[in-house]
Formats: sequence, structure tokens, C-alpha cells
Amino acid sequence: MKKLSALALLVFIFAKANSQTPSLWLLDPDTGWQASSIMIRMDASVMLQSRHLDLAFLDKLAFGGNISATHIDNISQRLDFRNGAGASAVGGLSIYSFADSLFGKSHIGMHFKASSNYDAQLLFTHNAFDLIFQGNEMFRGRTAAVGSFFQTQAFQKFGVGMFDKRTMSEVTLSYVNGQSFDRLLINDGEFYTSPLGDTLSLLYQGEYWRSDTSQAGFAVGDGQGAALDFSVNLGMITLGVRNAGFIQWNPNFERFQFDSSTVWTGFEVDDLFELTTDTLGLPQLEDTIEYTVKRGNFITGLPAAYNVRVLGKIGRRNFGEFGMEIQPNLVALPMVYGAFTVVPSPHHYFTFRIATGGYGGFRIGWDYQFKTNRNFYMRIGTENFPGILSKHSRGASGFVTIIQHFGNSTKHD
Amino acid sequence: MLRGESIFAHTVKSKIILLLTSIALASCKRDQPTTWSVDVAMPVAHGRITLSDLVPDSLLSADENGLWHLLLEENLTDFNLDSLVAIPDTLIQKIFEVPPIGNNISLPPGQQLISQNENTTLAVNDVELKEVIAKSGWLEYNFKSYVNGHLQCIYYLPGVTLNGVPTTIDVHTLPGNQFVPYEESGVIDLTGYHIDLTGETGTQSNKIYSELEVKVDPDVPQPAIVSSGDEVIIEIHFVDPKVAYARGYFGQHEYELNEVVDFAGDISFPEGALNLDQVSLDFAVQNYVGSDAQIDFGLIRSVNNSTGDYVLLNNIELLQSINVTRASDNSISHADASSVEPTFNEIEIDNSNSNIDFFLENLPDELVITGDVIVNPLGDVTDGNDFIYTAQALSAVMRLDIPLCVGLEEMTLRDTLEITSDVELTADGKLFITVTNGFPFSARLDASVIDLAGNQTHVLIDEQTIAAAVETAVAGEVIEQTTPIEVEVSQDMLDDFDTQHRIALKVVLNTNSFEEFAKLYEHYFMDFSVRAEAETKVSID
Repeated sequence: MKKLSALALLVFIFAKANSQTPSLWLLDPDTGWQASSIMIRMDASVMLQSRHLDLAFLDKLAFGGNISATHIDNISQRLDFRNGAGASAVGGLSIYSFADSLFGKSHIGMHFKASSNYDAQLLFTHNAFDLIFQGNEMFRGRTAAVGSFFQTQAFQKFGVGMFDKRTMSEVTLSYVNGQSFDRLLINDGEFYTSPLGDTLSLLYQGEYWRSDTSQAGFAVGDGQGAALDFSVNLGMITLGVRNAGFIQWNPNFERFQFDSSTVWTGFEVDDLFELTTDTLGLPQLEDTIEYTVKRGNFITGLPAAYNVRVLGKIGRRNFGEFGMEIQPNLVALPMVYGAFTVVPSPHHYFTFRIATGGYGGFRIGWDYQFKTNRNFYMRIGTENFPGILSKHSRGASGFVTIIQHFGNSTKHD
Repeated sequence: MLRGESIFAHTVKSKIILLLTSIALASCKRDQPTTWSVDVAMPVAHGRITLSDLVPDSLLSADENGLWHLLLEENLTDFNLDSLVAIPDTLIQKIFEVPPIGNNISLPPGQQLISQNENTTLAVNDVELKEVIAKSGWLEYNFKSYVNGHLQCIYYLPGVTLNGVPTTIDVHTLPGNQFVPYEESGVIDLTGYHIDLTGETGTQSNKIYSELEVKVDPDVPQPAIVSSGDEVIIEIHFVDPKVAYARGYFGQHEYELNEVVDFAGDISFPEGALNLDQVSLDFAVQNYVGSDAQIDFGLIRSVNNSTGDYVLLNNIELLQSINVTRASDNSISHADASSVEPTFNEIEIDNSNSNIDFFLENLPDELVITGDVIVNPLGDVTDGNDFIYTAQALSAVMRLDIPLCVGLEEMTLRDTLEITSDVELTADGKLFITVTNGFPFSARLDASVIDLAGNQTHVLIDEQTIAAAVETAVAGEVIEQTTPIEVEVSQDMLDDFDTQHRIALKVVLNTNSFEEFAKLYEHYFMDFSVRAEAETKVSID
């Protein structure tokens, strides 16, 4: 039980695992690892990216602290009409069996995977940012467009699948345990401030989804679904799909829909000088927001991603890498990246990366891969190296992979 | 001004926006709150004050020109004429004991044992009632027989009738013995019963005539066995009879009138000086009672408990005896008072025949009225034919009509405003108050924050003058005047609201001239709006 707890803790602490096969495994001519009988792989990654919001801002927003007016103004000046941010964290454990065969084919093995996944996306207008963080004074006499989108979800996957022992291509079908889901989508939001500031009006149209609020916590089981993941290595080309799936939430899932407008001219005070002590109670939000709510077994999609990678040798020892990832959601742009790997020895790979797109802008990163002759492999790196050093960076990420081989099995054809 | 978490956060719009942020940050645990400053411009409050806000609608009425009149009607009848003709609970008890004639004497069916006719006198005081109609009450009876035999007991009340039918109580008893009597009881609802109180002769008063007969039950063939000492006990009990109508001589009675009319519950006249143009006060007495009365008002005094001042109403007619003549009744059935022709007495008091204007310019919060009412001051002049329908007797009403054509001098209104909020109020900025005055008088406004003991802790507005509307040549038409007011609001001040502080408002009203009357029309109003401008701090814990 203690081992299970420690394993769960490890999975939880580590975050977003890169589902692709490490390049070293594809580039290293030493395939002795295929002789092992069991391979255990642990992946963890965490990512926070924005094209406009810096880490210092996000840090204070999430963990407390005063955000200075200068800081807010600097961010405001670089905002576009639509702006976004995204974050994810994944921790996973995989067990690959090299000893057995499937369907009579000795190069096909089974694997089991478990992971915990967290995803957040934020989309906001320049006006919404200014209104929230600078106030409505600047909007006197005009309308602020405040349409926005925010979504978080947490889920766990427990999968079983098969893999090609030679290429490490794999496909996994997972049972998905829904932990939590929140989504606020304001399709049309307009906030008007009259020139004198004596009238405010709001037009709001959108919806808010949330999973069962009666229970919360890790792996609480508010919903269940299925997911498909695969990664196919065709020589130096890798095609991958991550989190292609859905969750059907329990009947306590709620969907609030609002489509209304309201005008605010201040509290109505109509009992002055009735010569008694009057009480003026400030109104509550619940009194004024008009909405309808539906409850039921709603279905939501998982934060899917589709990627492709091409590896190629550059000279005798060095390699190049080019890839693209598409996350089909409202916030992320297609992400492209390139990498150059230096191999000073068969046991050490140093890779330098550049990337742009996704939730962030241009960024540089690195990773380091290390392997012993046969049994141990480790990879650690970041896709946004400045984010580790400076809070002025607009994102940060980190990932680590650890693999340990056990036992011996027959060499595969 | 108020920080994002307070007023700003409590506007619908800002809350939507903050909702987004809050949801985004809800799952984050913070060692310290996330804070930032925003510049907000927003409305805080608005309202309209009309005269009907100051005075209950029930006391205000606009005339055909739209001029407000303050109307007050007070019933002064605190004496209850019902008590004149009240009938007390009355118990008639008869105990008959067999004399010592021996034991076990057999009496045949039909043999009469007791026969008795009687006038029972009601214990009423100082009235001589000839007839009444009950609106409620009960007649309870109880028959108890120790005789070993079947008896028939008949109690006949020829003067107690319902729809002309006399009341007969006919009880057939079963055999009892000297230790365990036979007992039977019952109740008759007296509602609607006519009770003749003229006795057996028809010329007396306060008397109920009854006939009692007890005999061996003729319907039972067995004889009754009677022994010495056997008893028959009969009880007739008039319980809680209430009178709807009564006739007779009600006697000569004197009642004290001591009425205090308290305005505090309806309207509180403010401090300051009030100059009234025209006032009228009517005293109206309406008599539905068939007896004469005489009313003498001792004094009528307006009392200002704030200043301790009082003014006596001075009117010659009012201070003389008011002779109220009897009403007449043409009804035979006396079913209700609709057939009564009441008499009226009315005294009209105005500026020309009294000091009524000074009386009211004292700004009273109560009126004290004392006097005497004498019923039948001349005695029994109708030969015992006074009558009363208790549902509608004697009413004395005071009606006050003040056309609101006034001069005001330092007329002061006060109010206390308590602000409640579920969240912490924080602010540092300004409130901009705009007052649009459509009343033809100016106002001087003070506002301050006070603690529960009434001690001032912060001054918000210090003697800010609000300009009077300008009257035009057309009656009822004014040119409204707008006055802007700026109020500094500090965090220090708002912190007080967490400790149950309140805002005390004081408005001092002045017409252009105390001697020249300003007319107050129903469409006059004073609008106000409050908006805020400030750098405020948003805090998410």
C-alpha cells in the first residue's frame, strides 16, 4: 500500500509526459534494451505558456501577491484583440512487457499505462484584461468587449495497449476517470460605461459548465469515458495522437446558460426621511444574474493533440528534428518546433530547441538524454528555458522521463 | 471610493468579470491574496424624494389643482356606550325539597309536584331595560332529580323568543335516589333572541318572567315513589349575553373624555419653524343612540414633546357645551341600525375663528383632548324609550385639513441610514452626488458617520446648500435646480461600517421667505444620484 501511495505521489508530482518516443531510442544503434523483459517508464511534464502574460503576473495571479499598475500596463500594451494562455500537467507510469508476444507475433508486446492529467485554457480580449485589471474608468463613453473563455479539466487514464518492440510504436486504449471540469464561455459580452460613469450596462451571452460540486479531490470519479493514444514511428517519422476521447459526467453535471442584459444605475433608495433607521443592503450577485441551468450526463471532449515529428542525421553524430503539434481548441495555435541534437558519446544526447505556437510565442529550450548500456535511461529538459531563469518570461515548462529495464527476453525479429 | 471587492464588485457587471477571474483562480491556494488596483467609475445609488416619502400616503391627498393637503382623521370616541346596556351573567336556581310527609309515597302519572311563576330581576345598574336583542350569549340549564320516579319538568320563558316563538325547556327525568340524582343539562344559543324585560305585567323593567311546572311524567305508566327530603334542583344560567339592541331608560351617566392622539406613528413633525397659510379642523359628532348627550371639551392642546411647547386650541364654539340630541328609530323589528335617523353636530374651526394655525405651527407630535360626556343630561324624558344599536352608537371625529401652502424656516428632517454588506468595504476616493431639486425651498445638507451611541466619527457633507427650484408665474410650475456635491470617502471611514456605524443625514429646509407661502404640489420631487470615481483595490483571497 505504501508503495502504491509512493507511486501515486510520484505520478502526481511529475507532470506532462511527452508521449512521443524519445529520439534517442530511435537514433541509438544500440538496441540491446529490446532484450529486456519488462520496461518501466515514468513521465512527468508541466507547461504554462502565454503569448502575452508573463510568469510573474501568472504567479501572482495564481499564488498571491500585489500586481503593480506598471506591470499591468506593460502587459496591456502588448495584448492583441484576442489573447490566450494555456497550462497542462501530466504524470504517468507505463509498464511494457517485452517477454510476451501478441497475436503470435513476437515483436508485439503489451503495455499498461496510468496517468493523471490536468489542462487549463484561457482566452480573453484586450478589453476584458483592461477592464479587470485597470478598471472601467478608461472605458467611459464606450463599450468594452469582454467575451472570454476559460476551461480547466482534470482526469486520470488507465490504459492497456500494444507496442512494437522494435520501433516502440504503440497504441493505447484507456478508461478515463473524470475528476473535474469547469468551462466558462462568454460568446458575447459587452460592458458599457456612460461618459459620466452614472450608468453601466452589461450584455452577456454564454454558458458555464461545471462537474459535480458535491465531491472533489484527486480521482474522485465524477465521470467516466474512454481515450485513444497512439504513436507510430515510421523510421525517422513519428505520428502521434494524444487524448482522443471523451468523458461522460455524472448527472450532477451542470450547464448554466445566460443570455441577458442589464443596466446598473445604482441602488434604488426610496425610503429616505421616513424618519426611521433605514437599512441599505448591498445586492448579491445571485439576485441579479439571470440564467437557466440544466443538469445531466453531459459529455465533454478531452484536450486532444495531434503531432508529427521528423528526425534526421546531420553529420556523423548530430541529428536534426522538426515537428508540429495541433491542439484543436479555441486557444492554441499550431505549434512548430525544431531541434538540433549533439551526441558527444553514445550515452549522452544534448538537444537545443526552438519553438513557436501552441499557447505561447517564440521560445528556446533544451533537453539532455542519458542512458547506460542497457538498463537505465533518463531525459530531462525544458521547452522554454528562459522561463526557468526569469519571471519575465511568458511561459515555462519542464519534463522528465525515466526508464528502467528489467530482466532478459528473446531478441526480436 | 470603494474597492473592487466592495461596491465595484457588487455591481452586476463587474461581478461577471470578476467571476471569470475568480473561477480561474479558485483552485489556487494562496499564502497571501492576489491584489491589484483599478480605476473605476460607477453609479452607486439614486432615488427620488417626494412629499409622499415623508408623509404616509393615507395622510396625503391632492386637490383638483394638484396641491397637497395633509389630512388627518381621528376618532375621539373612547367611551363605550355598550357598557350602558350590558347584561351580566345571571343564575336562576330553584331547589324544591319534599316536606316531611313520610317515605315511599306513591304518586300516579300526571300528579303535579311543583308549579311556580316568577319574575327574575337582572342585576343591571342604573338602567331600566324593557327589551333587548342578543347578538351572542348562551342560556345554560341543568335539571337534577333525587326522586325515585319519572318526572316531567317544564320551564317556560314567554318573554324570551326567537322569531316570535317563546322558549320552553321540557325535560323528562329518569328515576334517581337520595344518593345519586338523575341529571340533565343543555345549552341554548341566544344569538338573535328577543328578551322582554317588562316582567309578568308588561310594565316593569329589568325582569324576566318564567313559569315552572314539575309533575310525575304522564307519558310513563309507573308511579313515582316520593320520600321526605327528596329534592328537585333547577338551574337556568344566562352566560355572557351581548346586546345588539336595547330599549329602556339608560339613566344619566357621565363619562370622562381623555384622548391622546399620538402622531409619532404616522408622521413626525420636524424641528424648526412652520408657517401655515390655511388650516381647517372639523369636530363632527354623529349620534345613532336614542338618548340625549352633552359634550364639554375641557381643553384641546397640541404638544411638541421635542421642545416641550404646547398650545391650547382657542375656539368659542368648541369650548361651549355641545348638546347632542337623540336619534330616532322607525324600525319595528330592530334588526339593524339602518332604520335609525342619526343626529349631527359639527364645529368647523379655521384661521378666522380660532388660533388653529398657531396650534399646528407648534409642530405637535401629539394632541391631548379632555372633556366630559353626559348621557341623558335631562333625565328620562322619553318615558323609558331610549334605544341603542350597539354596532353603531355615538361617534366623535376630528378631521384636520392642512393645504400644504407653507413657509419654512430651518425646518429640519433627520434620518439614519444603515449600510449592510456581506463583504468588507474598502475605498479611497470620491463620491459625486447630484441633487436636482424641484421643491420651492432650499435645503442645507449634512451627512456624517456615527457610531451606535450617536457619536460622530466622520463628516461626509458639511452644510452643503441645495438650491431651491425657481417658481414661475404659472402655479405649480418650477424650474428645477441642480446642485453637485463631492464627498471624500476614505478607507478609514468605511472600516467603521464593519463596526455597525451608520450614516446620519440632516436636511434643513427653508423657503425663500418665511412669510411668503410656498405651495407644495404632488408632482414636486427631489432627485439624487450618487456615483463614484476612485482607484480601488481588487483582492482575491
